[in-house]
Amino acid sequence: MGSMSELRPLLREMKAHREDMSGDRNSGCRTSAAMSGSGGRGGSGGRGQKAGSARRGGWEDAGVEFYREAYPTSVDNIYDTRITTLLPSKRHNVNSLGRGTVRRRASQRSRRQPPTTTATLVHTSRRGSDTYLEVLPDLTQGVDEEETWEKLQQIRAHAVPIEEKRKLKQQLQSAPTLRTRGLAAFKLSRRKFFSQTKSRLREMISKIELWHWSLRYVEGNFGTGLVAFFTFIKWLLYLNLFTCVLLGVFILVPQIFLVHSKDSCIVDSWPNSVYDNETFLYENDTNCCTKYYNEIQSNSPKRDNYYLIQLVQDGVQGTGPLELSYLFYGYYPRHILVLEVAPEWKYNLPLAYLLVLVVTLILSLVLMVRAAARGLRESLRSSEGQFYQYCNLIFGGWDYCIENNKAASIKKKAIYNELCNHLETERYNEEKEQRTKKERCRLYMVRLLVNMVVLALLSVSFVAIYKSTIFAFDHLKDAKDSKESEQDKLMILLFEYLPSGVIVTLNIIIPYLLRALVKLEHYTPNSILVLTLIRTVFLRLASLVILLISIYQSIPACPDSKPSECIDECTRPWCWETYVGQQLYKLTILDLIIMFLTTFLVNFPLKCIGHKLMRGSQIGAAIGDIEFAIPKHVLDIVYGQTLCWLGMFYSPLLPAVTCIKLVLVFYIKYFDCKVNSSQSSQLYRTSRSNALFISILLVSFIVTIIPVGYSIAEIKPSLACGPFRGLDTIWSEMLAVIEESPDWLKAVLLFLGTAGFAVPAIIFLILAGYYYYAVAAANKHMVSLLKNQLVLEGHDKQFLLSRLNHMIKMSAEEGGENTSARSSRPVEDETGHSNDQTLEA
Amino acid sequence: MGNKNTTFTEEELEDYEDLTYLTRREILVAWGKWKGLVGGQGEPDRVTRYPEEDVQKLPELQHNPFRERITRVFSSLKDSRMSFEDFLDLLSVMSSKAPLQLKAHYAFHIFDYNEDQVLDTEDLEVVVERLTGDHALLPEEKSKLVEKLLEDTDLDGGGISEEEFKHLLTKCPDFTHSFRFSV
Repeated sequence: MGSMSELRPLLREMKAHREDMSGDRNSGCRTSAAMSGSGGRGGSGGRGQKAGSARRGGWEDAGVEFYREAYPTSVDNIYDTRITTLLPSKRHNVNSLGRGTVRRRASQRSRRQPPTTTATLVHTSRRGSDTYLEVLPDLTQGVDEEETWEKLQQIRAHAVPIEEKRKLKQQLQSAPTLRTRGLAAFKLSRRKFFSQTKSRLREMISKIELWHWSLRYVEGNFGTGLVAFFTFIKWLLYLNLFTCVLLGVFILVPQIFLVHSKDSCIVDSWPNSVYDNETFLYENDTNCCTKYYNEIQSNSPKRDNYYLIQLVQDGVQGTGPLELSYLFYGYYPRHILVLEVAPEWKYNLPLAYLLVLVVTLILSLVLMVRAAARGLRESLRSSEGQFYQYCNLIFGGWDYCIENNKAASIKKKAIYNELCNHLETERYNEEKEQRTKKERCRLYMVRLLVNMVVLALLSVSFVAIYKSTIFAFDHLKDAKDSKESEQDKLMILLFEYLPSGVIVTLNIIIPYLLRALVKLEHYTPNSILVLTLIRTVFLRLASLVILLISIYQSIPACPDSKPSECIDECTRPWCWETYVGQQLYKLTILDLIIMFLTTFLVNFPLKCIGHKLMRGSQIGAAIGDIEFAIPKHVLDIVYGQTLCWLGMFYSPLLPAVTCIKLVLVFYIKYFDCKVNSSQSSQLYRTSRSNALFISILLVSFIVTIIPVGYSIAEIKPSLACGPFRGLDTIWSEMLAVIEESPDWLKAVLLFLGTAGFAVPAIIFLILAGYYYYAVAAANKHMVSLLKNQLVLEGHDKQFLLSRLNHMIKMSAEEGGENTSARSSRPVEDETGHSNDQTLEA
Repeated sequence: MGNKNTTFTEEELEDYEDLTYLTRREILVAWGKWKGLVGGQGEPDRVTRYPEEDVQKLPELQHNPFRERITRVFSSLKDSRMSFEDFLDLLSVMSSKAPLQLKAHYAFHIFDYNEDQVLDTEDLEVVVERLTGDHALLPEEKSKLVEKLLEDTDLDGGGISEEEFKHLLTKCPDFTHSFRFSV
């Protein structure tokens, strides 16, 4: 067993160490155990070189206890350390660095030697403060090119200074390698090529990275928690750009560049018409409707006074010339487009419109779920237990990118606060268990009451939104019909903005009330944050949904009249899809304007007043100190994105508008953060923030799918406009296409819609979910078992080490006595021998 | 980046690129910063070793509570001086491409104040103290915190060893986000 041969030099060394112990504390003992090279094979032993000459000394000089009942917790015992460096676990460390990254090739590796046998070159320092071990590479086996290349790639991952890595690289490159031939060589060169292109691509992308310097500034002055927020905006921007590109390529470009078929509208038809083909009549009538609608729009009275204001108003509301533009659904015709050069290639625009939108939503969902999975995994890991939260805070709490003294001190304060928070949460938990029954009852009653108040508040706001929308809609109709006097113009404006105004006001007031109410409930700070966030999200999303419902209500379904009466007494707008698109567009623009106004006209003056005019006073500080509250800003962003998703179907260019809006929003928020806000004393942890943002986004996505899905599947599209005019529902376009597809495809697709597919699918998913849950629970149990075992093994190890030390000490003392009797013999050999004998016995 | 660099040959740049996680552009920027930091006494070169205090003037290090430990750990000869290559090592480990294991290794040595290869009570107490700065916790709170930390993470007694620390850090997702900076 190699251990004996390893112990021998160790014992000799111990003697040399004994004398140095009393002297230079900085030397010797500090073997960097992590640097030891490995083996399993051949001659590695501890080989430290001491600068000083060996002086005599006794164990008594060392002044340490050797035999202890308790497990040693301090490392004064150098002998402990020396022995522990020989332990296999200590030598394992460096090789695990390389191994992790070659996991993929491990299966191929199995027939070759494990990677531990090849070179791990380590620095030998003569200074003595750190003693490393040098292990020569094992060149007895041919190392082939692939292995060499992989090792070269992982040189960076070795935790040694650059000099050593350079030596290692030279060694690897000069070692004789077996040339790979044939298929293996081809594969290797392909791998090399891929990894090179990947790294070059990455470098190029990093050069053109958007907002790099702004993010660096935020990072340096506020920490990484805030950077997560701005990165979220950037991510959303990319998502919207992706959506834009898809919509543009598949809807906009064909619409503009391909050739449209002509719409025939034969207005004066004979009463007993020759054409008794019903479909033809129907189509004819819808075409006439469209023509009529277009004429009305383009002939709307030009209001010459206040032309600029009119323009601005139209721009913000989406009316006027914008109504019949690419911006809204109404402009896209129900045509099958053809290529100029090849008339046989048809492009079904309505089908494309529907399909592209569905596919875009699905792709967005996939991207978001991927990002959410990453974020949730991280946040789940850290919430496994209270102690991991401590570790997370202490080891990961300091942002190493902070460059600013003020930010540094704020960060320290934030960490301090968080630590106090944690300690307080523990105290709270302890206190919670000690609550008397009466107190508990009281607390639950209070919580119930508060929840009911919150529900009441929310219902009141929803009713307000609903009522105001209906009210505005009715009065708008009346006002528009009598659009004579100037005064009415003002009323019209008021009614136009009434629903949006109500929503905005509620969005400002209700969160304040919610924050005040939640204080009564006595939750932990984390729970308070999450609860307030949930309630506010609910408010915002639901108000949007209520808006849509009220619009839906105020567009009463007309009795199934003949298409020739598209100009009927129903109070429906000509093109309700465009109307919905306009409302959402209006909300988007309004949102942007309000953000702009809040930042520049409210926060900025407040800050100026607080910090400049009333400098030093308490009131000044109270007014001027505006914290950059991340949850509120995240909700703003998510709200804007929800509007985009809701309106995407009715306004294909809305993602483009949202992109531009996001760019502006970034700069607005950046100004808010940089100039207006004072440093937040709350620690925002990146992992938790990421998970939070994406989860809220997912929730709002799911909420928006429902109204859009319902309107596609159930509501009759308007006769006068859009790619689906004349159909019963928008979805019937899809059904018609399915009808025309080959039989087998039809059968499959129709089957997917039946209950016969849905019910087993749901059952299967539930079972799969349960299976994974069971596996996870079993793993957890296993982990706790293994952990307990590890603890016991650790105790065993400590026990054995201390016994070993004791035995060495005893034998050393005996050896010492022997040599004192026989002064002629050199000490080292004797004691070495006697020690060996004792151990071998 | 686009500037013509006359200080490095193509070979040297490639060499540095292979040995660190930095891109070419970052290496050149690092050289610029290095010159700025130590350029007080004449034209700096790549092998001269400069005192630690000069390196600690780097903006990201200046306000870091662990700056002395950082410069000490990354100094290859442990002589309280750093050369340009040590500086590159530091930037490489701190870059976002460095793997967790590598960062964990260096973080362990940074936090190990008494350099005994384990993180024990004294190390952790100093770390907590440095982290909270002027707002110090009460001594009993601090010891309670450290005790709780050790109790839950140290499985075999004797303080947190490097392996345990690495395992621990896989459970601390914030570590990868915060233990980095770039030039």
